[in-house]
Amino acid sequence: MKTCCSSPPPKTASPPRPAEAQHAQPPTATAPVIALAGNPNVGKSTLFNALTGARQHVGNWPGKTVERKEGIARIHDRDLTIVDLPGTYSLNAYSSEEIITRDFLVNEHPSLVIAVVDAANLERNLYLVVQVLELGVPLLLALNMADAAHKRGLRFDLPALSERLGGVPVVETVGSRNQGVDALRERIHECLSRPAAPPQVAIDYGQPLEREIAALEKRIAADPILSRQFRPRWLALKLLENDEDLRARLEGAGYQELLAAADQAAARVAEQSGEDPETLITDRRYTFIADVLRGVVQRTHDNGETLSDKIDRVAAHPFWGVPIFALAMWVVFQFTARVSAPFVDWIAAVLEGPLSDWTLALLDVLRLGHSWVASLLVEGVIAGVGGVVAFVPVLASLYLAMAILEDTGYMARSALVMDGVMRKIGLHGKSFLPLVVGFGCTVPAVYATRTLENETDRKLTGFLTPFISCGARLPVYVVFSAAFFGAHAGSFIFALYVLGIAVALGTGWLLKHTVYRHVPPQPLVLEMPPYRLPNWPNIARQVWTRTKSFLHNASTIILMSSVVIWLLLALPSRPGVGRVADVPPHDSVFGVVSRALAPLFKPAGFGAWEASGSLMTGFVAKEVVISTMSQLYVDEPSTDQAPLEAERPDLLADLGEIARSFGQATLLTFQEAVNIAPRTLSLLPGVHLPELNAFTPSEAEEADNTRTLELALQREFTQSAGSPARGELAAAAFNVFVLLYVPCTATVAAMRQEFGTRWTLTQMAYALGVAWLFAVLAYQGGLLLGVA
Amino acid sequence: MQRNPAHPPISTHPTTPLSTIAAGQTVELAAIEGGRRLRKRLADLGLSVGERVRVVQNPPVGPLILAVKEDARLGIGRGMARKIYVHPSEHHA
Repeated sequence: MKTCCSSPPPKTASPPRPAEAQHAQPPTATAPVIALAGNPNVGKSTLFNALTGARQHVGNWPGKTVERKEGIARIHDRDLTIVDLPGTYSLNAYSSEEIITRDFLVNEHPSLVIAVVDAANLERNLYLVVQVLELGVPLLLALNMADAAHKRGLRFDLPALSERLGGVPVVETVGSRNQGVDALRERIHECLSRPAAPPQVAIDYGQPLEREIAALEKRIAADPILSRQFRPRWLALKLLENDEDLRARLEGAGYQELLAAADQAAARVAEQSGEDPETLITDRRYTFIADVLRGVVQRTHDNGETLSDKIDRVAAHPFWGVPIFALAMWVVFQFTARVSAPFVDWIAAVLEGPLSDWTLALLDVLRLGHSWVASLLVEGVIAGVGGVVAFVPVLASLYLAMAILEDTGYMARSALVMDGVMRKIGLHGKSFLPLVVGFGCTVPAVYATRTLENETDRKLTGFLTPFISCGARLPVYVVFSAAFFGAHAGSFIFALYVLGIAVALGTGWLLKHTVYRHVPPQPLVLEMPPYRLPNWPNIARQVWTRTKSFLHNASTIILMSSVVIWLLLALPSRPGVGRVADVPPHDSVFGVVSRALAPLFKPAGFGAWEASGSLMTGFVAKEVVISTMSQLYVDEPSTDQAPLEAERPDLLADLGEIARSFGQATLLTFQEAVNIAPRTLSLLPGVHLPELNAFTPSEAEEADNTRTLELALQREFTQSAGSPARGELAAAAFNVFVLLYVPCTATVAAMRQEFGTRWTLTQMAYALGVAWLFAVLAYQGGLLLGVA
Repeated sequence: MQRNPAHPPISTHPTTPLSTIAAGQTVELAAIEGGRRLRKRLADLGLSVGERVRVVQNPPVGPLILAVKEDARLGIGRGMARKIYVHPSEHHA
């Protein structure tokens, strides 16, 4: 058995290629770089984890939202860098994943490429492998998930496969069980210890293609720049294949003549063979693969219908699939909204209680108590950190739910089932999930768009998610509806949710008919990977790295906006009204800015500066609107100082309390997770299962405060609008604005990370405009209709 | 180069849209209506002219599921399936 990567004899006679030696040179100075490449859903990540263990780094590819995973594998006392390339079906760079993968393989000259294929789906998987082979990089083939293939009665003649692929070493692996990984390490070591030379496989494309390939190849080889960058034969093939990305790049670099020659060559091929070159090339590749596999794969028994097919008869059924999907969404929603809640409360309690107290006590010791430093640290920084950390449990539970759906293979089915409905409003089946998640929290909803492969669909869906009313907006509606709408409170809140959905769908429709008019509807073709049991270590790692990445990316922007709001509130607007961090809100810079903005909201009926001021703080997080309002309306100067008057904390007692409440939060989380089952079953008519209720959260004592705020709101809105009825209209308009206006900072941070600054600013401007328009429409429309 | 001369439905054999093929039948793809970009995309996934595919699921409405290259399963929208022409079945599974 041939196991080395060093040059075996060429499969087919091919002319000598002068440029070969130059372009194949790997960088030897640094640690060798090994790339993992393969189709989606072949267990690439599992193999990556098995090779690198905990030594991983997850970031983004420069300028892209595609995850870049890199890790270190130690093989024979040598550190190797392993890069997990995005999953792709071919090197026909269309999507950002494909472009990243191809550019990496072409430009970065990895010392070795491990092509990971699904052993149970070898023929289709080899299509990518053959293209990597043609690229002329040193290659190693891992037949992953070999256990599943064996179970289906497939047997492989590995030496024969290796030989027919030009001596590429082949290993069978089961990444999820760590089987074959040691053998894989050995092969990697062998490949790296020999002078690397690419395997020589040349697919014979037949006449007239070979003639044109040879002519173009000669042209390319004569160009010193091109021949150093690309393998000439590969580039010739790519040009005949009409690769849009490469063509654009060559055009930019002034290779119009070469492109024209390629066009003429393609036209000649089409004329002589009656087929366009790309069809011919695809056919030849598949024919080559079929020849390679002849006799290499044996089927001991033929099972036409697999277990996955049987499950899909229900799960992917156009009728039964919908309730099943609804159920899956319900469980995901329960996960993100309820299971995460105990830890969100716990984090808030620790930050507001002990941590703030300790900070103040420490500052007292340093003689900085009651100074602006104390105010900045407690009301600016700690509050800001709280804003970031509070999202961790929510995101972690969403990532967990999503990872399970993805890992088991259900995600693809859900897209298939929902596609018909979503297509009617111009969206993709996969857009449904982020929109549903948005009812819980917009931040995970933005990240949930990652499941959409098409960049346009992804951006469009991301654009809509902020209009879906998230959990943080509910407290605002609740306070207002109790203050103004009494018995109709429920209908009022419901109407706001409906408005949010309508604006989201309307915006989607609008964008599809304007900005994205030229983008053809994406035809639905997607692979349905076989159902699999979730791989828990894999899932845990994914949840951890993604949550970490959110913290890393969002912390700055959230912290900064929190400090900016603090600064606005702390700075006196003019001399003589107070000192820094000791000034009534209406005399602070915040008050001045709010007053300047207030007239804008006059047409919507809420022109008081307190209203615009609380909208400003609502940018930090929407529920902050309520706390600002109670600060401005209810107890203006008094509570401003209150939190800074900390009694000397008892460190031990505090630590004990933190531990105790952590334990309680853990138990509550567990209870919520368990309760998903009875709660879900109770959805069925006639079924009423008791929920586990051993632990109850400590109730907050906010009732009195809320009542005072409600009365103050009634008074102030009525006064500012002119009459009680107008006050109600103004309150409704205010809530419409809260529903639609700029998403909170955490969402902005998430959107910026996913879609870039410009896109995020556009979304914010659009949201502000829509919010203002609808608020004014609500108020003026109500006046016209004679409501007030 | 704009038009693809290769894939008008082949006249010698009658062809029919993939969307009309019942589950369990194996058919050969005869022509794919659509731009070269789409055809390349489909080819990447294993759907190209001359390829034999088995229809795994074809409900009255909604997407179909196909078995491609024996072991791969593709979900495909009904609109897309109407644009793929096939030679009617030779045998049932």
